[in-house]
Amino acid sequence: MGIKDLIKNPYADLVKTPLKTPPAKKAEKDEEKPIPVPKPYDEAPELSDIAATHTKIRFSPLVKLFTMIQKDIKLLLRSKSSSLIVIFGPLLVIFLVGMAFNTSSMYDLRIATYSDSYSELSNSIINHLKDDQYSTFKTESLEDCIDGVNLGKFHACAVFSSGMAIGNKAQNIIEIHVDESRINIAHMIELSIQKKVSAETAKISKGLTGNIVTTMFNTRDVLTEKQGVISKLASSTSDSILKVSGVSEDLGKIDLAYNKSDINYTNVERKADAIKAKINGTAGCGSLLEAEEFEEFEESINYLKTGVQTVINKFDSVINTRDSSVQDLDSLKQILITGTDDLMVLKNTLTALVAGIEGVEVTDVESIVSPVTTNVKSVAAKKTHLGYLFPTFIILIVMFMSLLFSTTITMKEKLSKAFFRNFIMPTSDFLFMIGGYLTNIFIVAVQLTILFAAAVFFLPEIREVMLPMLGVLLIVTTVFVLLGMFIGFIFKSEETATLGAISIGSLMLFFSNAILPIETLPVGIRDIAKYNPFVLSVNILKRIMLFGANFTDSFSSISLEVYMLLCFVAIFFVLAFVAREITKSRMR
Amino acid sequence: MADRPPFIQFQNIKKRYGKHEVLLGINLEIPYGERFGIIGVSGSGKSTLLNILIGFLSANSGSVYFNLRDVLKEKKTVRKTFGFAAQDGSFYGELSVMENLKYFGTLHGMAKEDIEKRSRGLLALVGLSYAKDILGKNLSRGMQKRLDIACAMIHDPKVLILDEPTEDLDPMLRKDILLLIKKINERGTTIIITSHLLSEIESICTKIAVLHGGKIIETGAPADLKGRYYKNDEIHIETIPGDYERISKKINKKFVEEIEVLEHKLVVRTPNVDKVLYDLLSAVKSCNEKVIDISVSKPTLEEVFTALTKGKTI
Repeated sequence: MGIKDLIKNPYADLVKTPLKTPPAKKAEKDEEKPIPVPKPYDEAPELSDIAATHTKIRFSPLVKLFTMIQKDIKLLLRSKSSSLIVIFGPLLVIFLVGMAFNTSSMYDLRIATYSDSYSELSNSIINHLKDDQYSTFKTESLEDCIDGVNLGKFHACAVFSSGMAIGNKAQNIIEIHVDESRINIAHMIELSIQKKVSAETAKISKGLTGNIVTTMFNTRDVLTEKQGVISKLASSTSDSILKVSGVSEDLGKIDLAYNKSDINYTNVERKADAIKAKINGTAGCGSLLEAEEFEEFEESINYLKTGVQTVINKFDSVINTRDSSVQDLDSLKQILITGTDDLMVLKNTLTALVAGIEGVEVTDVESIVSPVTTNVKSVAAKKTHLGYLFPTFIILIVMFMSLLFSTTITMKEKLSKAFFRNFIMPTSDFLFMIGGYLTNIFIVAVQLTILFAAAVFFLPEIREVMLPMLGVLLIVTTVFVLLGMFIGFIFKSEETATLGAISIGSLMLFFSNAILPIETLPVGIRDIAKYNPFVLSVNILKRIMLFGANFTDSFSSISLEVYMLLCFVAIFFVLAFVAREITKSRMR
Repeated sequence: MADRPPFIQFQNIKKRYGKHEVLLGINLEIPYGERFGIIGVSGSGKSTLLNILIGFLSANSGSVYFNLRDVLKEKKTVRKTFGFAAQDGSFYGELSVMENLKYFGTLHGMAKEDIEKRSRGLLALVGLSYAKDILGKNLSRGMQKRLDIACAMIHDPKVLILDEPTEDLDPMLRKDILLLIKKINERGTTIIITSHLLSEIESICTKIAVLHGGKIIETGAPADLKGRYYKNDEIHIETIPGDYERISKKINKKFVEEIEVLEHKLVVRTPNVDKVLYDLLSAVKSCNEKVIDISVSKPTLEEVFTALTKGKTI
């Protein structure tokens, strides 16, 4: 066996030096080959030569920066949860928010109505309230109506006074009960209902005013028509006046004046008696009628005759005047008869007009302008803005504190070196979950204690409802803590988990009544948003704080929301537990 | 002792991740009180096997018994009996040494007094008594490893499982940890250890198992394994000027199994080291070579392992 046969090298792949080339020999061989001598520094290639072998890069800091950014983005995108949050997170948020709030309307406002006795007018207004936005519900009692608003079942309760009727303004009162604690919607609802009622009452006003105007126009037409009669009456009256004046003047002109001496028949009688006596001899036998005496007698007669003639002439003139006046008076009589007829017609017309005007039912200006009065009342006791905002404010703080604390603590635990050891402890996973949950509850409880200590200073009345409030806050905190734990378990890094918690918290905030009323959301989205744990929590707390709900005698007013939150507790606990188990399996 | 049941027994353990089969039927017995090493290349399934043992992982089939109790069915009981120190350490950096021990002791269901007492003893054992109030994150790497071992032992386990306990430690710290492991074992705790540093396994373990291709291909004491697979001793000699070919020609080849040059040394493998050593030194002298260094050794575990895993017969 030769030496070469003996040499077996089982580690040939590890040992490269074969036996047949011992170091000494090898050294000799090495001598044959010129050993490369390192170049002295002065022969070293210039930096410029080295640089010439590479493409020159200008603005290298920028290139480096670009490369760094490129690397960061790659790292980000290659982490599924990070890319989900960074890219799809904002897209999802803007998509949901845009879809939800891209409207100026409010949807599905539920108005409860109540009246001791609905009238035609109240029914008409109720019918007018119904449309795409509003639905109305007649309640059996006033309590049902107002309690419905308290419970959030209805947005407003409209109480119609009994026997509402047009023109009966004193009875036409609508009381609108709204929840003033919903500051951002209460006034909108008030205005909205008032607008609806106003629209209906404007219609009534229009009808009433129309009646008056129609009566007015009718009166105007009749009066216009009768203007000719009045003119004719005026004209005939003028004629009458003229005629009466003429008669009066004529009668005034009658001269019945005469001198008594002109018709002094005493002188004639005396002379006649004297003559008579002479003739009869009575005056001393043998007195003869002297011519002179006769002439005197004749002269006296002529004088009397002239006087009588004058009187006769005057009577003739009077007769003429009388005849003329009678004629005129006959004519005047005719005019007056005609005028009397016309006046009768006018009287009838005016009677008819008065009847028409009296036929206008509503003449009270106030009743015409505002036939129905609306009064707005708050269902909750009057509070300050802080009082109304406090439930939202507390839940907001609880939500973000619970979400962020539990996410961070869960993530810290998950990334801790000790996380693995916990899995191999003789302690159940359930107990670890409960431990994590209680830790978070404790931290949030500490925060809330500080918060409430300060809040009592501003809102001393919350002391009265502290117990039910704390009960609800425990459930609410549990919901958000478990959700935060779930987020903590599903995300891989603390940063993305925090971002995820903030995004989910923000979404719940957007789809609640805190910023805009959920009534502004389209019905489909709103149906989902009303189950938002944030919305449920605020509703419960509001009812406790503002309407005195509690877990005993008035539990029914919050029971539905409480049960829903308990469902969320169960769901998030299961989700968090499953996520923890998934985390565990990822470690394997 | 022979009629006692195995302390820990793996029976046909199979495990796969998706389609990748990691363990193809592990059958292994670990006796009580041993320092038992499991060696295998990276990804061979060592950690998987340990995780199945502590009940963190479930096997697809097969059983693991501890004192005849089914580990997979009695996880809680078994976890009280086992201590596990993972490669990366598993304790809270924000808690002090003592606080860590108290926390894990409580999770093990120990009474406060027992934890105090046990912690004091443990801290003395691992040499961290002076550091009991220091936060875990502020400890040095070696101290962290010792804290991790202490955490694994707070409940006084019967079995301490160490996964790559000296990983990332400098040679001095490794030595410390290995000494600690021996000390722990001497107090009656069975040690199961994995490491890819086979020299450490060789130096510390009383028994080893070679895991390869999803199966245990060999078990036994390191010396037995080497003896079983490597009959020859090795003579390493370095001379000046080092004409090893000439020296080789002068050696009597009757007892020489193999001869080669490794790292400027002549390596001669022989089952009869005394005879060949004599011949070799005679040959060196006759060649006018001057001996610089000479040593006789058996092949290392690493060499045995390499040979085993490459399927070669030595």
